Amino acid sequence: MKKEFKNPFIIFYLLILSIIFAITVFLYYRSAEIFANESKEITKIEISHVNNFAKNISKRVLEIAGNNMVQNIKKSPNLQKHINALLSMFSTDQYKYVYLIYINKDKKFRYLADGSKDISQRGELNQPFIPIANIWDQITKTAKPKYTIQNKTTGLWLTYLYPIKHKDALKAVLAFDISLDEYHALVSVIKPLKNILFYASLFQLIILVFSFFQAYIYFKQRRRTNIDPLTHLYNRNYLNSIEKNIDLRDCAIAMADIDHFKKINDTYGHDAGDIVLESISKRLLSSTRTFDDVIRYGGEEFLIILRKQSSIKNTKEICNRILKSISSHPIRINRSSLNVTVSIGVNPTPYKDETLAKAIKKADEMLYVAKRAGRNRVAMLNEKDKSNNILSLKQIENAIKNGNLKAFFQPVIDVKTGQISEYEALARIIDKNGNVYTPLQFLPVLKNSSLYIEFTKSIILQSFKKIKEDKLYISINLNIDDFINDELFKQIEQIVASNKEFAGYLNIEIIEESYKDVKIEKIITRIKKLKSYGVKITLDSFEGNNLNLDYFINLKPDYIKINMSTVLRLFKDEKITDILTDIINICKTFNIKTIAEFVENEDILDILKKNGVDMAQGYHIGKPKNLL
Amino acid sequence: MKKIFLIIFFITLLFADSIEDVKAKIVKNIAHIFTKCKVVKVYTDDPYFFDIFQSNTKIKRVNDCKDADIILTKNSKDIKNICKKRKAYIFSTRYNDYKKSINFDLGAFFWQKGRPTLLINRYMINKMHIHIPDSYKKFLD
Repeated sequence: MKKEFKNPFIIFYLLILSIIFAITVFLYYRSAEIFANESKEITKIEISHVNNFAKNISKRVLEIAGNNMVQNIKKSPNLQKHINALLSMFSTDQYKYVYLIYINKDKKFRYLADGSKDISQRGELNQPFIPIANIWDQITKTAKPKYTIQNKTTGLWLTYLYPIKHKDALKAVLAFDISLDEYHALVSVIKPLKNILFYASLFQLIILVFSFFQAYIYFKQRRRTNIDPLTHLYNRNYLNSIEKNIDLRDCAIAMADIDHFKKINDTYGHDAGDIVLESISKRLLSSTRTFDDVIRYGGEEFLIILRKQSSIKNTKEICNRILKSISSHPIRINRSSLNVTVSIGVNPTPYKDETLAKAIKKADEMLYVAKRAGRNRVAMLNEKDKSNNILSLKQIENAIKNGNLKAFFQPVIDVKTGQISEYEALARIIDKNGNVYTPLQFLPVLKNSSLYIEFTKSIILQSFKKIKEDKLYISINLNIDDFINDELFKQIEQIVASNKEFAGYLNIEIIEESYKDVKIEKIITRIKKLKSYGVKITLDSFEGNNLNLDYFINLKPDYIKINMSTVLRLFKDEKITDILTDIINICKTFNIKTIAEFVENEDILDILKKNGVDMAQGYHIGKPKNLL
Repeated sequence: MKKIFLIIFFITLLFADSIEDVKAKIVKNIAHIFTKCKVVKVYTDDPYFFDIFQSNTKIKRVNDCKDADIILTKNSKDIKNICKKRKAYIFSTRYNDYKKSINFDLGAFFWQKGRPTLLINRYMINKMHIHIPDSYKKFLD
């Protein structure tokens, strides 16, 4: 696949969710920063408070203990008690330990007094004090207040040291150990916000992960629904889903069909058919652009929506590129190489149609034109080439109403005698300017319309008119599908019945790309019904394309028609020539006459004579003419 | 340099997972100054130190002070009487008790104000001719 499915709503939803999540995470981390800053502020405030206390206490201690405070306290137990009592006044749940440390002559720290509330935690006079933080050394050097944040295992938040000085000489250090509970109490105001943001982030992350998972499942399911499993191309579900979003003004619609695909399946098997489909799909993708849509429309039919089409020339270039990419390299199937071609019908101006469905229908009609013109080619709607100048349904309707639908007659000769033995009626439309249009230019449009019955009736009636006038043997073409259409067959039968004395002059050529197996019994019954009036039957294109033995055996046709362009190609291969000769011989055995068509020159006619073909027609023998 | 070591020593210990871990590590470090046994046998009658044996496999608790390499006690005098014949190293877990037993306690190790306090008795170290690593000389009292 060249493109991934997109759903703007889901993408927008996920984007919004992601942004909200990102903002929340940002706020969470920002809150951590705010929290850190707030902690610093709280610490500053706390230090400011404790500094005020320390200043007052140190002043009072100096007043009580005198300038020679260390010696005085050591000498006087009462003074020591007094100082302890003073310190204990400030020892609270907040200021867990308040104590006085002096530095002895060995530069070691010793307790001088301790007002800690918990007696067991009190240090005795002269008890060594082992400092952990280096602020103790710093204060001895600088004689300035210091503080440090404690490790949580101590159960303390911070320790504040205040120097007690006399005439700039450090006498002792007043220490405050502030409880961690105090810190928790202060930050409890900020912490809930942080917690809320954390849980909001977590919740959003869960929602986001869940949403992404759901989106993944959705896109996977959508992909499964919209992708053909064999070719990995889009399928018709996808076409339905994008139909409303296609801007017909800047795109072209192309319909491609693999030529003789049924033959490939019948000859090499369905596995080979699958390989061909896969290979063709890849080539279609490689020949189109990333923004074009290639859709497997039917069995071997592909719809290509060519986007951003600036000109018809550009569209045709892409379609020719597709043709070349497929026909230039054979497809490898096991040990064989298969030359596969496609026919492409293009509607380069879909904006002229009301809907995508109508635009596709026109491309499909052009595909039919490409097929009828010999396959492996591109047929463009509205192309200046006259042969591709397709008439609209309205034009056809007017032509039928105004009697401009004419049966032209092409002579068919007896190959041995060179005499005209019958004519083939061929439909033509003549416009007011005298331009003549062939079935390729109106039949694809006409085929699926209600006008088709009127058209068929008109050609048969004109043929009977000629038969009645000149007693000529005339053949008309009917599609095998025409025998399934109840209304059409009723009309045909009525005309034949009303002209039953001339029915023996009428030859019905049954044409079809493939002699479908569907409703074969109904078709055979109806053809036999016509035969019962004396109508002759010809099986068209019998050279092996779509031979159906049911028709051959049950219908007992009077004629078999052979397409000489195919025959000429086959004659180059001796083995196939032998098979064809055998087919002609079989026809002779069953008393079936063979008619060769598309005889373009004398050489072909000579080949026909040599191979025992009974009748022939073609431009070399005579072009279709308006004999009425 | 010694001060830095001292600070790092305690800070590293304080940043350990829990107080139990800190206590156990300090006890293990002290023990290895005085004995070369890989697993040090410790006797203690102070419930505060009962939890140090859970997290450290290098120190083993013994129930009889006679079997101990190191004794952590809050009542040094009684222990000294009970374990006269045994030459164990006694560390007091109370400063008061240490002061009273300065003639036979090797030192003191106790927790005060959320901090560990280690004291090594200089008198006993000299008397017993024990070599103390330089990094521990700061704790000499």
